Amino acid sequence: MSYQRTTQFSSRRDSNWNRNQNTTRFASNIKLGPVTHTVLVALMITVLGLIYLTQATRATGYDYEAQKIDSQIADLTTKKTDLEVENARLTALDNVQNSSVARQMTSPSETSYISE
Amino acid sequence: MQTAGRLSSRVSTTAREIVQRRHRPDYQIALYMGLLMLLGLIVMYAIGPQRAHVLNNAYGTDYYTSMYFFIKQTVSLMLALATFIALALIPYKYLKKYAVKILFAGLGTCVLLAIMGNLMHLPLAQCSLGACRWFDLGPLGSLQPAELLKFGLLVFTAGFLGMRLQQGKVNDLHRTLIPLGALMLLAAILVIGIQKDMGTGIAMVAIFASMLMVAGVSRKVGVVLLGTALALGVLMIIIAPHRIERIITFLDGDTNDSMTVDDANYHITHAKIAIGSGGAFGVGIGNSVQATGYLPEAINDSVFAIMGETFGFVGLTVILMLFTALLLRLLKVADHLPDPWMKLAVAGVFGWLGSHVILNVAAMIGVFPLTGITLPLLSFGGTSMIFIAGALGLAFQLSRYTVHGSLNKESNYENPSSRRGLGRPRYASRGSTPRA
Amino acid sequence: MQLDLKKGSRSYQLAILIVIIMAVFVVRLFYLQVIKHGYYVGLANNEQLKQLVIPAKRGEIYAMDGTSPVPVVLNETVYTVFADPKVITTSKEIIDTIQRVAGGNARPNLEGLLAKKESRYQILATKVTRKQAELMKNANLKGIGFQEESQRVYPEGQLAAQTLGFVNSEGKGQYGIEEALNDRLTGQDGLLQSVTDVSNVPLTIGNNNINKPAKNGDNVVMTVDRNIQAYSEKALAAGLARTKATNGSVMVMDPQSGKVLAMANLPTYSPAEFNKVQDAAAFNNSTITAPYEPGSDVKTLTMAVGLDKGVVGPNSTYNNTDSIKVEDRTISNATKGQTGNITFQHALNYSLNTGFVTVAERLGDGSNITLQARNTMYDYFHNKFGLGEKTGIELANEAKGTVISPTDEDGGAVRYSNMAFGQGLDVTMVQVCTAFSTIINGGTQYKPTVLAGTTNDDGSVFTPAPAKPAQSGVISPDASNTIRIMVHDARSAFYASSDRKGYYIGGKTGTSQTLENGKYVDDQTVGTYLGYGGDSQATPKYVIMVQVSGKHMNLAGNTDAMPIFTDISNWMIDYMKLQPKG
Repeated sequence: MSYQRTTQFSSRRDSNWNRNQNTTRFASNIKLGPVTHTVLVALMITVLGLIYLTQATRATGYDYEAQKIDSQIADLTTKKTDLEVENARLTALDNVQNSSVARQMTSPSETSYISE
Repeated sequence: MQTAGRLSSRVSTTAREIVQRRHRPDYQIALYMGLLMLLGLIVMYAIGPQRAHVLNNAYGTDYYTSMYFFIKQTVSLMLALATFIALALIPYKYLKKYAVKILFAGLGTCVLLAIMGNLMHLPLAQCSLGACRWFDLGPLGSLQPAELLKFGLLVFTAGFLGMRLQQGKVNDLHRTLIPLGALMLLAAILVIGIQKDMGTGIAMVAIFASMLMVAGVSRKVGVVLLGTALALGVLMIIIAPHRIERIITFLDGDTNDSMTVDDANYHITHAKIAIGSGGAFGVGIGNSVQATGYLPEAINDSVFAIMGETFGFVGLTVILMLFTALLLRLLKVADHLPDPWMKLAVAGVFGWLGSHVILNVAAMIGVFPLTGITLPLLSFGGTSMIFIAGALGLAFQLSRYTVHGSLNKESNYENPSSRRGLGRPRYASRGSTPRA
Repeated sequence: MQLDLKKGSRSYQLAILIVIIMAVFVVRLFYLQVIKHGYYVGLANNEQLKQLVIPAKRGEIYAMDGTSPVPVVLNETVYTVFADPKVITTSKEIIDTIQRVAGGNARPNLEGLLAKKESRYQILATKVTRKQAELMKNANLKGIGFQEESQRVYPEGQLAAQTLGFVNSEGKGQYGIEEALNDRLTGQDGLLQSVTDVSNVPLTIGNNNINKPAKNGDNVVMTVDRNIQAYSEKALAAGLARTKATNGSVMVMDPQSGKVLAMANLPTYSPAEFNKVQDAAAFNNSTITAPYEPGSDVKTLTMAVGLDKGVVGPNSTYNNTDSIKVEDRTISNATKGQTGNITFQHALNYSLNTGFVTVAERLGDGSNITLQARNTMYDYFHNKFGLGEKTGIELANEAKGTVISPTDEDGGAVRYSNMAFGQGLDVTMVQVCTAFSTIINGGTQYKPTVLAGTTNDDGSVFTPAPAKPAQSGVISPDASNTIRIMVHDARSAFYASSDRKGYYIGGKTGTSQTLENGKYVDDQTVGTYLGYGGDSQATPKYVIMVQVSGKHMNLAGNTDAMPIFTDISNWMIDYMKLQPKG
């Protein structure tokens, strides 16, 4: 087996300042069969595709999650508003004045003031 | 191809040795099939969540998770691969031997389905609009008996026609054409008439046609058969009104794109919208909008359109090229098989796969009416995937018996089986009937 | 690919067929995806790209409760229940459920509505609360839908109805603060433009997505105190019941800031049921929308002008003959017999018209209401006090009223002699209250306001509104001090007993004739009382103006309006926790 020099010669000096070290590169003659080649390329493409997929495709899944959360927020906001309204109703003057507590109250018979 | 060249030089010594010795199968069949299956799986992964949401929304459930379709498709693929391997390994002679039984099993299940669905209305038969096409096996999934019938027809016709081919009576009206025609008519009544499944019917016709074609039916008979098939097709269309609607829809073509869900051409319009909006390079994986409920049957029948939206013109061209390559490999195998049974079986597989691809793609791009047929290897769905993989497995097995060189001339088909040591005379005279 | 197919073989023919078909497909795909790409993208966008309006929440309205705001107008989500009669199969069950849950909100004759199979949309119940809607949803009725809408809810019922106004079915504020501050309360709707799925769920796919959030309307806080408002309404209602008057208004104002503390009007209505009101007059806040001739209470203003100009003092005298001649007219007193040389305080106590015509004359040459006198009066009444001009209060439909200028051909001496005792000019209660506050608070004019400020979204943080510019020195502090004492003395002369001891209360009656078709009529007078109160002589704490009227009713300031003032005034002392002095 004889080594052949590659047609593209690149000087190591361009990339390596140490002098005279391995100034040529050598290429191997081992070759893969065409079927292996195709299969390997196909596998690589598939792996790359799947990696890309895991990054990209779940977006719509998140959209539905976001939608779910949004509707929950809307629902809770409505409930909160309802409670606020209920609270306002219960503390409205009419209700407070007619409450059992208010009915128990009596007017003071005499009011005296502390003079300053 | 290097392999074929080496092989032909090595096996040219004696015919007997060639036929009996198996050689390396045509791995390209497996390669193209695998690539298409992977592609289908990737698309299921990408549009599964949308589909699950659409279904959950429609039925008001949380039954479908976002991985549901991906997992089911993976399971289908595993089963399909197992079937492929099984049919690649089980010696074909068993198929040949049990061909009649397989055919009767197919016919029987179809009749059973018709009885259970159309007459007894059992829930086991899955019907819609009076057309019962599926057995509902609950958690195991569902089964389409028409697929079994297709397979049965394939193996039976390969044997029957192969026999007639050996006898040189392919064009014989009484011995060949009328029995075959009767079988076809029976299948057509079951599939087109009762199941109202035009697509599967056409696929069966295509299987018959490609086998007859490869068997070398004469041009005159071919024209007559084609004419009869067309006449029957027109008759089928006339007796079933929903087909007329589909034809009208189709004839409206690109001028009448409909955005209304109830309209007849809603489906086809949206398939074209999906394909057209994909443009040259597509919107990218996971960015399909038509899959979020606009396009009906997005993961089954319409998956080609979703792929068009996702991968664009370039992607679809690649997919079509993969299918073309697979089909041409099948033709090559058929062309180089010396045994008529094998040759016709592979031709049948070609007709099966080819008709499915062509019918589905033609409908999606609006050049042929919708027939409701799935795209093989890519669409979601177990039964069709398993049977197509099985058929390809058979072709894969048979590709080990090809002969390359001067032996496989068409004139030799009349009596080639003598080379396989079946006890028949080596050179029977033309027109003789050895076993009759 | 090397196929080794034999030329002319059947397989070869099939191969050619397949290649041709695939080529046709590719050409067709090229046509669809490259040539017609734009067309199909357009079709796709038409159905995928949706613009959804994010409704802005209408601002809530708060009133004061002492020093902290309390809500008086809130929003509530209610549902309209509708059905598609075509898909309904269980109409009896639906009718039962709706009638059981929605009760009075269900529409009558549900059977008939559901029988209209072709209509596809029938409203079965309106204004169903969220709880009721949930009960109905849980019943899992097929063919029933719910449409959400927001409506105003009034926890305090009818309180301050005219001041608040209401929101009509189109969501626009009508009357009161709802109309005046409609733009601020409405806020700005947001816009969501997005690619959506078939059930309108927005997706993050696509480049044309816009998300402009809604800007909710401001929550506004009124200066109106709900306790004072409630008591004023109660006192007014009691007063009207006592006097049989049909209409009445009360305004309570803080003279040291111009803040309106209460505006009560009768008859009133319930803003939650504004659509049931027969007579739209009930919507009007008469204290700002109905100018009238206020009558003798304006004498306090005339006196203040005289004091500020230095032409009269409380103890200056004039000769009262119970009538006075102005040009060709003779003006008489309503109360006779207080003749002779009397002080102006005396004239104010008995509300003698002659005394204030005299003040007007003394603003001129002493015996005639000259142009100079009229100019002076106009300058004070119109320019300084703001009578006959809108005060700019933040309420809808404020009326301007009329104060005729001396340069007008109707603005002669007779007109101005009348104006001196409160006739011949059309002004609103809010204008009179503002002017009166100005003359008793030391001479500073505060713009009247009902807007105290805003709160944050949930009403917990109150941000006061910036103070409106005030004009000091409208009258001198001395003049102000004097008129305040005079008004106090005028009230004390007759009604001291009705006030609580130790507080400093002043007031002036007014009984004004009314015009019907341009002529004064005898059978219809409006009773007014205008006064102030507080715990010290120097700083009055509140100004109250009461007005009662009725068709063909003679209502008087002292007998009909004054008791209402006294009622509210005595209550205010307690409410404001004022301590008695001296």
